[in-house]
Amino acid sequence: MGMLSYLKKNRNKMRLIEGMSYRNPILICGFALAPAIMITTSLKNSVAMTLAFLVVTLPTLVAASLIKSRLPQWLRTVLYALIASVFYIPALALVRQVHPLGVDLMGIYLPLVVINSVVLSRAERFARRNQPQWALIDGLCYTVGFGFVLCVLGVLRELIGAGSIWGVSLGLDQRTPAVLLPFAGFMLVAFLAAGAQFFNHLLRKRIYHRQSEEVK
Amino acid sequence: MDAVTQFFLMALVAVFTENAIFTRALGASRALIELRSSRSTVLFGAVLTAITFLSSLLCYPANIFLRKLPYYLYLEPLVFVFCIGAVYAVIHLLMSRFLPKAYKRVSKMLPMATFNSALLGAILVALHQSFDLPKTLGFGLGTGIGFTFAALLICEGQKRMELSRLPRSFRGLPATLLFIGILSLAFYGLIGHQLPS
Repeated sequence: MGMLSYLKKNRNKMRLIEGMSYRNPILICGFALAPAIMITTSLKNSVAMTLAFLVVTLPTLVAASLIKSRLPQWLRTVLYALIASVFYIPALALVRQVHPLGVDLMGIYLPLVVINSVVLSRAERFARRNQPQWALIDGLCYTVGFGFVLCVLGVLRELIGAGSIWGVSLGLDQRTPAVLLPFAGFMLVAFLAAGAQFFNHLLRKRIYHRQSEEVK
Repeated sequence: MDAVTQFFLMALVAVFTENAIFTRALGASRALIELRSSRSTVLFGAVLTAITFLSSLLCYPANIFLRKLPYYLYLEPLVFVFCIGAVYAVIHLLMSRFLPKAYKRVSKMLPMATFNSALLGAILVALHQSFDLPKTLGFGLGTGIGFTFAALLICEGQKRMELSRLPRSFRGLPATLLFIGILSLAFYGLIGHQLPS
């Protein structure tokens, strides 16, 4: 009984912060790959995209948990996307404050944050059936996971590709501009995803060993 | 006659040279990676193509009205998502009423095919570059067909990778992304420059 209750307690607690820990939206779930691959050519772009993601996703998830299951499923999905587009207006204003050139640099990928898979999937699966505060925490964890991966990619690609961080040139001689192209984005995300899966396997192995020790 | 030429030319460009997945990473998402058989891939691609074509038909006049407003950058996603949502609702209602068998097969993939970055991305690319109506429609159609071809390639690649020996951390998503990355490199070699986004 001790082992089963430990597993249950562990799972419920970890499920709330899954976006940050073992279910990274980009690396494990495979959501929102388009911005992660294309616009992470500089750290400024990544930070601006994360802020836009935050401003669009969190209010939409709270609204989804308030709407619950009152409407049929096809209408719900359209409504989530429409609510997200309404919250895109402050998001774009914020991005314009933080990174004014970013609106042109990010091109079509900034409006695409409106129909990102994280908000539509989490709204349908989690926010619809839970209270607003848990939907908010869940959305926040997924945003932190998203932002972390985007910033890591941004730093790596800007350092190797342009030899600068946050637009400040570091005076490096060795630069590989090919890292700023989409194919390098795919490959870097692939390696980070492999690292995340390795970390997940390690975690599961530790939990399994801990439980088998408890049984003994 | 010129309009038809432009339509087919733009469709060819969108299928091969400016492929949605390999050059712009649009549509690379979980929906693509979870497609397991060629039949479901072709079905998904067909639904995506149909909805892209119909949505670009609605979004083009909406864009003409939108450009006249002062804050069109802020209202752009709202208007386009509204058009896409309208097409989605109409298709949903018509299919569930008149084609129940087809609707049963398609209903699970309809939301993922509609709210897909490939669809909205294609419309945004076409309208940001100020294409006229035949070019926009051709680009939308070509994006859907190009997505289908790319998805078939990726599905076949995933099947072969599942049968081969890969390190455990690389099974699934990482291997598929590496595969898409190498094909994307090949497309970059074909085009030679970074496409405007």
